[in-house]
Amino acid sequence: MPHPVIELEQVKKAFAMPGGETVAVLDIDRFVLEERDQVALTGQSGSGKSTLLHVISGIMRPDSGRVWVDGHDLTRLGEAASDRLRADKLGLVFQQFNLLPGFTALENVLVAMSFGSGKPDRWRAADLLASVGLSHRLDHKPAELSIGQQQRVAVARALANRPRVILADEPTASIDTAHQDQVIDLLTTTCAEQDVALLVVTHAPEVAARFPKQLRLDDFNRAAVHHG
Amino acid sequence: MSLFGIAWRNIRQRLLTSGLTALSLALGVALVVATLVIGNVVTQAFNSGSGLGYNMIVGSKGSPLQLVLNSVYLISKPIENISWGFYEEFLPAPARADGVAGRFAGSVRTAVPICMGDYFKGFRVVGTNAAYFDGLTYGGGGASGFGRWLGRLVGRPPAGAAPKPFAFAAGRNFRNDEFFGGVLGAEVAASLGLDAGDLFAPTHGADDGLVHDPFTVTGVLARTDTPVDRGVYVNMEGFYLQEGHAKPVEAAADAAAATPAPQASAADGHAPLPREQREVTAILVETVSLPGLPAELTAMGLRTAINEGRDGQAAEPIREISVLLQLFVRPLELLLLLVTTLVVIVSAIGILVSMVGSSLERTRDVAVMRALGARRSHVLATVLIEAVLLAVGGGLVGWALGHVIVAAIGPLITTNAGVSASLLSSAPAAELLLVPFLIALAILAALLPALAAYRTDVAKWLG
Repeated sequence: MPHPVIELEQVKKAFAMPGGETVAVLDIDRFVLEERDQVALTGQSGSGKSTLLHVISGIMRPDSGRVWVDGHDLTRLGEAASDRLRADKLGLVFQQFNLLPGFTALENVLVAMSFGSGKPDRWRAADLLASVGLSHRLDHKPAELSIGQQQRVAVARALANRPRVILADEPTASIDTAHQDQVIDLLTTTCAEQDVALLVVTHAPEVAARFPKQLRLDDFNRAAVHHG
Repeated sequence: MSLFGIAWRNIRQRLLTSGLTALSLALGVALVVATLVIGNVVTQAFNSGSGLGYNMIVGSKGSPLQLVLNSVYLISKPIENISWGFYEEFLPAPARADGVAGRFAGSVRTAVPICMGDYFKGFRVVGTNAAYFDGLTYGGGGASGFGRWLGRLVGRPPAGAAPKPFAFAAGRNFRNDEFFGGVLGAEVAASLGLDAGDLFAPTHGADDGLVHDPFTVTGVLARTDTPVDRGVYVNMEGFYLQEGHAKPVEAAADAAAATPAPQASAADGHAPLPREQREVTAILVETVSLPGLPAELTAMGLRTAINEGRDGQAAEPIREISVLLQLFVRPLELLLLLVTTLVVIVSAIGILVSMVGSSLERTRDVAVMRALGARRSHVLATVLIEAVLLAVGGGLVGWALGHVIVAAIGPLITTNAGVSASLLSSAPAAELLLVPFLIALAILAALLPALAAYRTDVAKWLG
């Protein structure tokens, strides 16, 4: 029986404040993302959306609970194994795109490949960029690309190691409304074509409305109540 | 893309800063290389002089070191002459006009006179006789710098410790009756483009002095890697006949009463200078062991006897060279070592500053790479590789620049120290260690920024 690509159970995360106070950010009983799911996760600012993505991706460890990524218990893995799992199974798209400025579009994809289990494949990297309409911009650095083109590179980079899921943190927050639809179309279409699940965090209802499945973090994060 | 490729990209991204760091390192390394090479060349040159075919030099009273520098290394200020009569005290009966053995003849195997004071295009001219190249040897005191280093490396005595007779790359030694014959050292012939059969005319006292009669090159010596390579050797009989070389006599009657010259007339009919008008600058002496005495004691006895007299002094070149190395060259080497150490420290700080700047600029990039799955070891290695690339790149440029500096100031060194230094001069042991040393230095300097990259808080920088 196929397992969910993401599964969280009894996950809690709190941060210590400078004054010594502890603030709970996540308190999730259960969260599941199935194969090929395309989910928009909404929530108020500070509701823990980004923290949830960091916990799922292994960048941040929960204080308690279990996190499975493609069947692997992330909370039982050492840091290096967790990093490798992130490189192999997860594709990340950031709000600011976070392309490496000294590298060309092609190299940005190749860098991501170099941290995965496979070997960096220049042809596949070029194909990925071609699939997002950037075959003519392979050797351009981020500063030489438009905002929309940078976001396309970010999507191609997220797909570099054939991930099981793409986690996108506010991918439309830095772009105008006209380009928002293009980015969402690109993400949903590309993920559907490549059988990759998609979890997009957004605070914009109009963006969330483009997804077949929408979740409000406040509905299943008990910690959100305390500072909502 | 490999970590090497990522590090290279990082360098290119900060081309100006990286370039300046590599350049400052290159200048430091160039200074170190030039210092090491020149230090090695000087030491090697002085060591090469210790392999002489003679163990004593007799000259006028004064500084024994100056006597050695003049006679062995053909450098330093000229020294006074000694009388021909004193020279004859070292000769056996058959070589003397009166047929009586000299006072010191019993302790002497070979005594070769040299007369100095003339120049030929920057090189010292030495008047001597055929025994210089027929009777003396060279290379008995130790190998060259590389030979010594190699010997030490393989744990065997250095090669080249056996004395070798002089060999000729072209032509032959001059005969004593060829008054205007001369032999050129290998470097003289190479740098002036002279060969056997060519003519050359020395100048008196200095390069711009009175031009003497021309001599014919009878032979060019094979390279010896000793100061002999830089000498122009002429038959002293021809040397004596040049203007200003004859010792003035007080009255014509004295000249008329002069005893016969020790040398028969030349093959071409030139008459030799009378013995009363002759002087020599120094005598190169190879002593023998007296019956029942070790060689060292014979030499010591001879030296004492000479030094107690008023005619001249005896200096032991090995002892003087050793004193010179201990008093001058070793402290100079230590000073140079201190300078190079400071240069290296400054270079290391340069790398450290550059890498700290680089790390601060790229903290977000490091966080992004970590988010993409880079292990901490990846970012640590990338910073270290970047530092090593800068160090090795700057180091290689500096190494080449160092040799160019040596080549550029080579003529100055030759003029002032009598040591030959060129683009190909080297300090092999130190230079071979340079690259591993630079790599270690770069890693040491980059360790702090590398650890900072290693500890980057990914969540904080991704926001």
